[in-house]
Amino acid sequence: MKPGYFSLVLHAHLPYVRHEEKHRLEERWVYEAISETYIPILWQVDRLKRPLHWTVSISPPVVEMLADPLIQDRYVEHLDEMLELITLELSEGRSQEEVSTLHFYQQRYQDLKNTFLHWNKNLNEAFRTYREQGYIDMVTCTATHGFNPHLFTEQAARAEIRLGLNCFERHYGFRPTGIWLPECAYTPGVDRILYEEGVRYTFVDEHALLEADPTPEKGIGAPVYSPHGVALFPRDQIISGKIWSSMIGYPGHPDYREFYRDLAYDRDWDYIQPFMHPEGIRFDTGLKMHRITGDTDQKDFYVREWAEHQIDNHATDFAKTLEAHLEAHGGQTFPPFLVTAPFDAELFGHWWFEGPEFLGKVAERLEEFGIETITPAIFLERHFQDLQTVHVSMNTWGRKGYGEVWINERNEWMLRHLHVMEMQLVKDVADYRDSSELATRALKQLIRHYVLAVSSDWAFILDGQTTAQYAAERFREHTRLFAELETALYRDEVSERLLEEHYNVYPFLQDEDIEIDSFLSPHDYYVTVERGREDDAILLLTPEYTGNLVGDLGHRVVAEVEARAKEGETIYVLTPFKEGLPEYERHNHVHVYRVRPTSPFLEHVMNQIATQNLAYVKLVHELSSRVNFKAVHHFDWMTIPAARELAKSLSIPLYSTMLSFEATRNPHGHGGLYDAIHRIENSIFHAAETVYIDEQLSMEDLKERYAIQDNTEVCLPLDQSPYKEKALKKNVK
Amino acid sequence: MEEKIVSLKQQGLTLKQIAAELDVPIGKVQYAWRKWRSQQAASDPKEESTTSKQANQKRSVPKSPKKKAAQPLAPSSQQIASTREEVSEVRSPLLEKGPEGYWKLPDRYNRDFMHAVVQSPNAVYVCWEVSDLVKETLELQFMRPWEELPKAFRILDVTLLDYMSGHSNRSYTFDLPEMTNSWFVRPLDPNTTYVFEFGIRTMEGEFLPIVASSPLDTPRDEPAGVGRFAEPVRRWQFGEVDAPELLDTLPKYSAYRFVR
Repeated sequence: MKPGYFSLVLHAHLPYVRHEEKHRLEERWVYEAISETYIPILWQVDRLKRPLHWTVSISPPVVEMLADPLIQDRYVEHLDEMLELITLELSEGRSQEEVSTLHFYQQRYQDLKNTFLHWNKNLNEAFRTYREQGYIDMVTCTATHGFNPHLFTEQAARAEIRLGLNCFERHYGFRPTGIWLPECAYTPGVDRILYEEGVRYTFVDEHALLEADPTPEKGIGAPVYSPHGVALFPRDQIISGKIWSSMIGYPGHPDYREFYRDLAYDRDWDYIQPFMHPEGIRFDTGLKMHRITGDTDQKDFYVREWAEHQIDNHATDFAKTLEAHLEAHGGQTFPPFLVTAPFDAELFGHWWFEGPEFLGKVAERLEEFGIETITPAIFLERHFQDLQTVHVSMNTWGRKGYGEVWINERNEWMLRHLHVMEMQLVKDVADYRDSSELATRALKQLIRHYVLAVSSDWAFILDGQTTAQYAAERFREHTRLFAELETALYRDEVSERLLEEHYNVYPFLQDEDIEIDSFLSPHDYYVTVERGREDDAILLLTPEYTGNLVGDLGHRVVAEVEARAKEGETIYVLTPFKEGLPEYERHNHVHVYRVRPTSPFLEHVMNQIATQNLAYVKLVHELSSRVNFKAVHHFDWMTIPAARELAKSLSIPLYSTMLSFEATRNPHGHGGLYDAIHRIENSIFHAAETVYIDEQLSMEDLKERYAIQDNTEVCLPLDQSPYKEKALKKNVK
Repeated sequence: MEEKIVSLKQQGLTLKQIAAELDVPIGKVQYAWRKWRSQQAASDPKEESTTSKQANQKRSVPKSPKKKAAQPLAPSSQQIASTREEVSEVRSPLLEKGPEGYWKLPDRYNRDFMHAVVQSPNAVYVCWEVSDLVKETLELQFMRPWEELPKAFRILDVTLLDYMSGHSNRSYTFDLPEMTNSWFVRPLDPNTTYVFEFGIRTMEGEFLPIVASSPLDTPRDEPAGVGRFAEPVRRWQFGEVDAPELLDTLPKYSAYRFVR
């Protein structure tokens, strides 16, 4: 045995393109992947019948579509049509070269059908069997291939991971310890969630390690641990490039089958029409009769024997290259040098027609060369103690290595809607999780709509502008369904039938795969379940309160709060944060929130006050969905903007206590700030139900400077409630 | 066709892009968009009722919905009827109808958030929303309509600093066009911690932030050697700290995070 290891990883993924209606072009993506990649790979595993140490990642959408009877039956119909077309072609008196290739296809499509039927039309059974026999290892991917660095919440990332694992486990009978992160996209923090969900390894591109901090001692010759202990296996670009690069790689050899030349485009429409889309759309049949030939538009016919010969040559060349690469790093120990080569599975067979056979031949050559193959799982069992822990920054295997494919001017419009869906799911789960069985099922269906919308495929397709309209429509459709079902949930209009209708549009995942609590936050659980409901409350905004009493105003506030509390009122006091005092305190029915301004360190007074008012309204916006407020009472001019806005938006009466005014404090005042304060103060007289002023203020003086109305009164004695019974009553629900 | 144009415009495409997408002359696109805009302006009062609808919806108790009155109403009672309907209009924030009555993606959301995501080591995409509540509070504070408050954007480099402390290594503020709710921020430096803020410029010219992103690290794009993360990683690895001193880009979100 040579020193070092080789690890091959194949990731099978397609977006969920199952449609109830027939003849959707996108469903052909599944047929092509089955015919060209999945079954041909299975053929190689079956031919070799020994532990290959290939790791096959299969994404939940692919798993679900392979298990879907509708797709299974349509695929058999598709194979029959192909066989029919081949028979027709053979009867047309084609050239000798064409006939020879047609015979090859005839045998191949018959074999595809036999294999498919052998596994009862469900290829999951095949993969599962080979995995259980120890020939291959398997992992899965997140639920719908969501691009995790661009998610908004931990909950969405966790749901994608957990739902993916649940779905895979239901079909494959075990929970893998490895996962394929969509687009090999890593972002700090995703490793924490992976670890908590039982995942111990995943794959990244090689620059993830080359740019890690500290720089790993073994470079890309060994995986590393992320800060939270998930092993990251790096793609070796030199070795991978031999296979995937169209410039230096094998697939571009002139003897291999040409991907871009399909029989459908070489035949008259009248002839080929019965095999095309009923609406007259011409599409690839999958019968490609030409070889790459060279850098020319004049393509020669495919010669199967030549292609087979090249497969042998390239497999040997690959083994030699790998041998030299391993020997060059042969000195590495603890752990020995590892070459990880992760690929999109569809590269083999779909893009590179001869790819699966190449992989089979490589497996044989590596044995002959004495190169040890290994799975990441076995590698970790052997060498878990020898890996370095480093910080890895955000990166992907996409164009230029980061996020450009998934966020750019062509697809950015989707992101805010996805973020709103995430936030809504967190809120809906908190609000409805224990309300009824129908509500729970509706929440699961909402999560289903969300994960289907968040699939990275839509952004990817919009970036490439290939089937952009389909991707955009799918995104809109899932978002619309989400909006409609959420509305039904809010209006208590969820029914069995409605849920069934929503599910049937895209029957992806079973309800048992979807755990609504993956969206729950412990804090929301406390707020919605443990905190309990209270009586209607008074909202009180004041610049001064206990711990921060500057003058008469603060003492008046404290005394009023005590007097009202004694009467049994529930009161929420909002006052500025003060260093050294708790942000929240509660004394029976009095809640005190010391609120930090939205932004500290503003220079100008009016701006500081604005940030305090913004903080008040943002807090009350949340509070008001848990607490029913019946009145706002503000003290002093500084709280007027927030108090006015809250009274208006909550449609509750506003009470004002003004112990002093800018014009009385500063009778000769003038200038910008003076005017601004005066205007704010003046605005309270028409906005408030009652404005209470200090008894020492002269009403006449005030009238000269403010637009005082008849709602202005002197402060009441403390034992008298300032809130008029009549005004409060109209808010009782 | 007009509906398609309006819908694409609302998805953020430029008139030029729409013309290319639909393969129609730009003049036709401009006409359709102007026509729709003027129709919208004519039905402005309706717009206002939508706003108050959104405000109402927050307080309505979702579990006991009131069904819409089905019978046709006499003209004199229409005003009252429509008010009653508004109360029952509890709906998902993602449910919005276009001028033709079909569902469309909402143009904006009545809430406050800002989120920044990495595009590359030198570029970040930021999107945000500002609620009516916040806009109106600022109107009452500064006694000017929201539209007249000049909008601006600030980039803060807070590498190795606590954003909440108010300190930054450097900052850069620039003015934004009205109605902007997203921005590709570039060029930025790799391996740097940034916070982004959307806000207004006040009378004094001071920048007043309204929404801010969480701190975000731009990726490294070259070997780090032993960089600023090496020591925090080591401390966390060997259990010398209770919590990692590293940014987490996927923080747990709480719907009621301010409620105690």
